[in-house]
Amino acid sequence: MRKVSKMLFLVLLIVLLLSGCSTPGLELKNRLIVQAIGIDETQDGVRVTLQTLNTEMAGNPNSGADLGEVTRCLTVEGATVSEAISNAAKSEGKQPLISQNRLIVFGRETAKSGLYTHLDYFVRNASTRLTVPVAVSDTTAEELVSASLGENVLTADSITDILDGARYNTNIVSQALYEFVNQLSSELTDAFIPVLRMEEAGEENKISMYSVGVFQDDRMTYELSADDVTALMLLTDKAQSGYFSVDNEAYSAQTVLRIKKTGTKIQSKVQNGKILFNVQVKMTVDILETRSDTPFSLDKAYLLQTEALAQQRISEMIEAAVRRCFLEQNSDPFGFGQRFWKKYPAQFKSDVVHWRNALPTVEVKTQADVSVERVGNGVENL
Amino acid sequence: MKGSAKIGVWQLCCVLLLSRLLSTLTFSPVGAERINSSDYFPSVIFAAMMILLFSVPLILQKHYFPGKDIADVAYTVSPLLSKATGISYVLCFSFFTLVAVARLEMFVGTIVFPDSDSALFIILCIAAACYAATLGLEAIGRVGTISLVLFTGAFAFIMMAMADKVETVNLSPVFYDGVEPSLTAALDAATRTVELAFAAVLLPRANGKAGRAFAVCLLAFTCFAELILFFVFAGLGDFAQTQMFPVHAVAVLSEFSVFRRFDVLLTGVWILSAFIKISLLLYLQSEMLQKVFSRKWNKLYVLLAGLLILVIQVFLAGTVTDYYFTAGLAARAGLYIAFVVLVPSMVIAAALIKRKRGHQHAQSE
Repeated sequence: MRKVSKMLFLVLLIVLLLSGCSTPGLELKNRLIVQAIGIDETQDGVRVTLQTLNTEMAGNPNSGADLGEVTRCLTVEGATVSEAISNAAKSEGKQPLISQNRLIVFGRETAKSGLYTHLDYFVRNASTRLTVPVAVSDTTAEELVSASLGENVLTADSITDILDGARYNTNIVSQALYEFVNQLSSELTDAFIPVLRMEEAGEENKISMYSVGVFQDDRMTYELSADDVTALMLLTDKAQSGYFSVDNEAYSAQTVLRIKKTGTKIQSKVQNGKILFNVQVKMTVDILETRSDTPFSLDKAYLLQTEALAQQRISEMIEAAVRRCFLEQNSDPFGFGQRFWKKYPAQFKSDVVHWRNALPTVEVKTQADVSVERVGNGVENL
Repeated sequence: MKGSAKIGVWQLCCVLLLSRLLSTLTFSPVGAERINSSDYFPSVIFAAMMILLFSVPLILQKHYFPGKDIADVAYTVSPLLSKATGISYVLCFSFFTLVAVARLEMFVGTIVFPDSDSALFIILCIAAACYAATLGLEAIGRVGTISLVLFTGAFAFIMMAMADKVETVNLSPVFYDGVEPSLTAALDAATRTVELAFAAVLLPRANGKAGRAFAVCLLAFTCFAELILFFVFAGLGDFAQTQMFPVHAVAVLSEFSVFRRFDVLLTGVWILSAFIKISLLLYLQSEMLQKVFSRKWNKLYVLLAGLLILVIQVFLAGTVTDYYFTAGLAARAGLYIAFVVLVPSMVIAAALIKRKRGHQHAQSE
């Protein structure tokens, strides 16, 4: 009897607990599987563009029937992000499933007018993956999210692939939602996210990385050029691999270098009452290509010169980016302030207080140590 | 304690540690005073010291009254005091059960079933916990030990997967706003250590060297709390301050190679630990009620305690615990010190005085 009652209890548990998907309205066919969310501010609230999976097409790609594109775009409006998203159910009769979302995009104007009010929904909603990338569209979020990149091409997939390029290219930045909110919450470090641009290429569109937008408080105030982005990646120690070139006048050659390994150490100190940061970049590179009108052999002198030129180029690139951000924009997206606060808390409390005010007097010295590891298969340039 | 089944002291240590670690999982900086991230690290050490201080009555109980639980110690003074102590502990354990169930409901309702009613889950969980509590301490001890191993394994995975996302630059300087924030956080953590009250009842039921087990337990808690806080703040930075369950947020981030969704692993471990804690608390209430009333109806006591918790949680929508969570630290610390430290201290002091008088009386005769 005891055994039977235990078995019955177990059966009851299974019946009651393992029936989650049978709840009406929660079955996949009744859900809008959201792949990307675009947010544009309007006069009355927000316009949310949802890129959703066409489940009929995704479930039967070879059925032969005309089931339409693999994704569908849906634009809804509301006073807030959550209201707009819930309004999607009104027009589609399906409840949006946010947990599968792979991208959040804000329109340029929205980013300029402030993002705090729109981010709360994503931070509060437990379904949102914290690792979902955040980006700004060069125009409107609607335009980027609803871009058609070709038959059966998932725009969200293509954009995340572009952002994944940050692993191979120092001109690309990828910021996850939690990283972005973390930076926005900081009083010392300015947040930054990639700006993506959609261009028309015939019948189809093309999306590419355009720049990196930097935020002061929660407003995007300026953008970084390609070189500044490389400097940003190096200073935040996020650079993994990438390419840059140096011009060698003595050999009339341009050498393209591929970063194999790089690491940055930043030390802060106070010298004669002035805040000083020593940046040390240690980098290993391979020679990828040499371009010259006259052939020459890649001898030791050339390699030493290339190393010296690369060191100079890295140092100049970093110092120029820091100068531009500190002096022209009064902004620190590199996290120098955070490091100084951590190392000299007492001094920070007494002398600095507002890091932005101290930026014009801060000095940054860079020392790069670049070593060429391999020259490739050719012993001389062609 | 005649007739009561005994368990190994290490098994007891595992169950109590698991119960305490569950409270660490529910650590939430939201609503608390904003404390700089690195101030949490010394706060764990301070909390361990405070726990040691709050353990003095327990140490005295073990030293002067080995083999007796707190109700038995009170019985040496008077049967009435024993009953009063028993009732005080029953109330205390009921409240802790409510807190544990409310936290579980909050977690499940926010993370696991955000779109549906979690009442059914809570009903099933309490029903299962009632059944587990009727199986006795040995069963809870065995499951608790296995669960602690699973718990440790799950966290080892999560921490390993989080290693590449840790950035020490996210951490603040230590004691930037003085020592006070750390002490506040320490008091908050120490007053969540309700397991000292569990030990006052269960310690006589454990075989082995209790002192060593207690030291290991405290050390394990300190190390775990330090590690988890490090991963929370170095991994999430200030984002942790925006999250209701930052430990769960860490699990969401931890992924490497093809191994993803460690948060599901954490959710499983979390629910299992909560189930064991609730079972243990129901068992403890039954034990104390047996001392106050008849020993015959132990299973009925478990059922009644479970029913009471269920009614309050489901029908009053956690009103009691909502009040507790929104109460200030001073109010929570006051409640904790009164029930977990002062009540046993007074009982032990009274028992010692009575024993001394008894000795003096015997000598004078």
